[in-house]
Amino acid sequence: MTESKDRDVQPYDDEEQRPGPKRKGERLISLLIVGTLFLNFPLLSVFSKNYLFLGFPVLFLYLFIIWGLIIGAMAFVLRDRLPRSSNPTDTRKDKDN
Amino acid sequence: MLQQWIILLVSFGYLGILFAVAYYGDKRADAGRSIISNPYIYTFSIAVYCTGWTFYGSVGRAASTGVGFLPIYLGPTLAATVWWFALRKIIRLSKVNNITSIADFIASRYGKSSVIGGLVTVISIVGIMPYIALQLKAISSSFNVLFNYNRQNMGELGAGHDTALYVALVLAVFSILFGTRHIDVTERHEGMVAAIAFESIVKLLAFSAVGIFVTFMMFDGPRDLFSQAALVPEIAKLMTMEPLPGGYASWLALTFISMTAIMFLPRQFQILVVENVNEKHVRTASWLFPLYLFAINIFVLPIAFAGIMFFQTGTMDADMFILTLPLKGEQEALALFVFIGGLSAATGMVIVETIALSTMLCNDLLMPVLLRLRLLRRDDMGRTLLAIRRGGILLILLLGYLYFRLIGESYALVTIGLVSFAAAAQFAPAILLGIYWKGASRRGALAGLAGGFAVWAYTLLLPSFAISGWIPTSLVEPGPFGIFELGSYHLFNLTGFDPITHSVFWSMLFNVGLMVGVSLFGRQEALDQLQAARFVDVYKKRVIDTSDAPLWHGKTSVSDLRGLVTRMIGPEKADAAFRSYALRHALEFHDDTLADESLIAFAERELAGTVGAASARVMVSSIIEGEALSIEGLMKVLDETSQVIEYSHRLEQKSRELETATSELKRTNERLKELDRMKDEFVSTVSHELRTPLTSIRAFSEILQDDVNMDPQQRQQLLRIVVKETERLTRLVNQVLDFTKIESGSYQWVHEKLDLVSVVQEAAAATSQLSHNKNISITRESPQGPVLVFGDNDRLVQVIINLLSNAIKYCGQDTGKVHIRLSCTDDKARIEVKDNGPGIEPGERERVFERFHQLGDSSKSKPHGTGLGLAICKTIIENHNGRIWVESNQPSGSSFVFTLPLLADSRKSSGFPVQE
Repeated sequence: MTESKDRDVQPYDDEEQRPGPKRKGERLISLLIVGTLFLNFPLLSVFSKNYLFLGFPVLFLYLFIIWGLIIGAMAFVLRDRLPRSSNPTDTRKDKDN
Repeated sequence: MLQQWIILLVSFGYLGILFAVAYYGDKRADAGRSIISNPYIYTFSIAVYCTGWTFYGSVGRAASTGVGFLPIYLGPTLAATVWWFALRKIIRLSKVNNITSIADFIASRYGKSSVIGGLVTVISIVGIMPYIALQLKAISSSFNVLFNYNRQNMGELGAGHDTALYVALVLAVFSILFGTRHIDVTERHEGMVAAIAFESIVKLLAFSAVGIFVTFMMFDGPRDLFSQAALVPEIAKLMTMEPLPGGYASWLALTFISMTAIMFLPRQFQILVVENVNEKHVRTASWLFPLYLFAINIFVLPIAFAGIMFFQTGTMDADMFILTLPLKGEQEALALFVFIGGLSAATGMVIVETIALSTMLCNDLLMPVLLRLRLLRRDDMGRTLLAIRRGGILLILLLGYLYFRLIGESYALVTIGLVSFAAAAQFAPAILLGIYWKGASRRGALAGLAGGFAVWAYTLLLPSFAISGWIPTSLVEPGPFGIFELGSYHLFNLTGFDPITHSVFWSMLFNVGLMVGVSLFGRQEALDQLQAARFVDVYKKRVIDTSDAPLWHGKTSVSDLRGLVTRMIGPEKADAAFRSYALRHALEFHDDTLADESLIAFAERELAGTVGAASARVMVSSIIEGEALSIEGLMKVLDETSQVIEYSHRLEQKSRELETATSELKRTNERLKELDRMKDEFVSTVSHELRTPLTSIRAFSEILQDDVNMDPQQRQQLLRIVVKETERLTRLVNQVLDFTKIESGSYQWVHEKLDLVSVVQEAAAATSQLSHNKNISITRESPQGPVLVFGDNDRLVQVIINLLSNAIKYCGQDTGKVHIRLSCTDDKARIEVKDNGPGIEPGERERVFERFHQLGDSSKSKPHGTGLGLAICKTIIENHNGRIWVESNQPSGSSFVFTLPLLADSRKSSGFPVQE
């Protein structure tokens, strides 16, 4: 009886929403926090210098590098792991159902 | 030099291509082979975010603030990190509820309130007006630059008013053709999305082409460009954060409003949510869209720096550098391509924005009003809706043109756009709190939106009119009535921020503060509560299953319902919808049957897809008799909560029962333990009491046995003691037997009618020898005539003998006096045995009736009795429904009193006492 009840109130209706062992949600939130920190005062003020590094203005270089890193990290966290059958989470899922 | 006809031909040719793309997209969608159903088209369509603002304005802003253009793109990148939960949840909610616009979404969340829907629509239209003006300005300026460059009238490079008007009209026609060709139940426009995605590719290519041309053709790569730029003091200044007005606070504020703008600008909501085909596309878009922004921004700074270097300060509008640089380099074809790119950026925005806004205007502002005024009684409502929307598109563009005419010349592109961003940010609290916090109420959202919007209008919109000279500047600076604290740019004396940051701070404070405050201290209505639960718990299966739960509690026929839906969405679609419903539920409709609740809910949902949730609700309720929210339906959705509550109630009850049972068990256990202890005590006391006489009997017997030559007199004395002790032993054993017999209930009582007078006589006679021995006088007092009770003669005699012998025992030799008195009250016989012995301490009076309780210190003196006598008396009296107790006498001695219920016929005979 409890089993069927559990299934009814299961908060996630698809496996992607279920917080898996990869903890996608925590990583994305952390990325938001880290990104916001790196792209604001006071870290920005460190690079707010009239100075060329490798021929580029440091502020310009810093902002675009951080930006690129955030995008890369996001793509990494959200990467589609294919094929699914070779995914270790898959066996877990089978067991769950 | 470019001729006007060439520019026009290319422009219209391009618009023609767009139309072809849209047409193809629609055709494919109709055939069921969607071309937009992939994450890449989805991502490119989101890039409708990059408008004329990005295309022209970013360079302009970079030329004056350095990296100050970037927060507008960093914000969306940061926001995209949470798309995976927040955006997906919003998409899911919109699909479940057939949401058509952001106003519809917010209204639907807050109890399908048409007031909220209307307010959001008003905020959107007023808030987006500057943004549309910006696009008109961008297109007309770029057209004029392209046309007039190198001609004599260089001074008129600004945006001509007439050009802007033509642009507005052309765009209106174009948007109408795109967006309102037919009314769709889900309000999705596949062709439009395809065209927008195509435009996004064009603008990215055009921008990159200029970037590459400037960086690698006009300069020798980026390093060359930057090193030359660093030598210009004016540019060197732009390489730090210093030129940004408002500094880091402004940077943060801009990041924040663009985080909200990417999701809550009406066109972004349209593309991200309403036009979304598959919510899994969000996965790719979350990183690919920021990458697009990254790509389109990488050349902004080089182009801006090059522009400053090539054109003397002030001679050329920095917003148009991207166009004037290729013209300067005599690349007219490239310039034309850039113009097309800019056209793409601006038209894309205008098309989506006007379609989204006109849908909102129609569904959330006009329809509820028209429905309430009962002006919509025409059979074919579909046509009416289309006409309203087309009119809406034209109206919105003309409003944009009006704003452009009023203030367009006074502001740079980005500054105009930021005003709109700050307006879109007002939707963030209502949506984000709404989808995660069930307590967010309709009144709270209404207060928050209205408060935030009012502050925004006062601190950003009003000054823009003032600066353009349309209202007196004294209203803004120093403030109305000269009050500095009320000035639009330093409200409540808050200074040190630039106008945008200042406005964002105050409007958000009012918005969130009012929303949370009113929600916390107000009450939620039923429908509000219901929608809150549905929205917050959309991922919980139970709630989704009740998406067409029976919420309507009223009567209507299937034909009425079908008629309503047909009027709104046309006969073909209505038939298809009803057929699929019937198929799904294995039903067969007859037109005159009563529509059940779930069919009504289904019809409402279908209507919501066309006219919005609030209007759909009004419409359905107009044809339902006895309309009311059904309590059962409400309960079903809130079921989860109530089940949990019920479950915990049951649990509580169980635990209470358990507690009661436990304490009962505890009590029983205590009682058992007590009994056990009493039994042990009893056994040990009895053994002890038995041993005492046995010991003396044995001792004396041994003496008698050993000492053969004992003096006969002494021997006689010892034998007497032995006999006496044996008697005592016998008595003790008898009493124990009696007692246990009575206690265990196995004694056979012989109840009969008795005369207590004779009972007392019998007992007194039995103890006369005893009293005689101690020379104690016993006096008796009893009424004349019989005192009748119902009882066991032998036992009652035993009680009185016990009391008498006790009295004799404790009385002094010769001086003792014992008096026994029998009397009657109304319904009781009372017998009192009084002595003049030492008396009993008050504390002992209760305890004398306990088993084996001996008066006096048993360790010092030999006990006088067995300790069972009074206990037996008490048991016997209580068995006769009587009561026994001790009273003390003055000046000394004690009285043992017991009462017994009188038999009815003895009450009359109350005689005089007889002395003896």
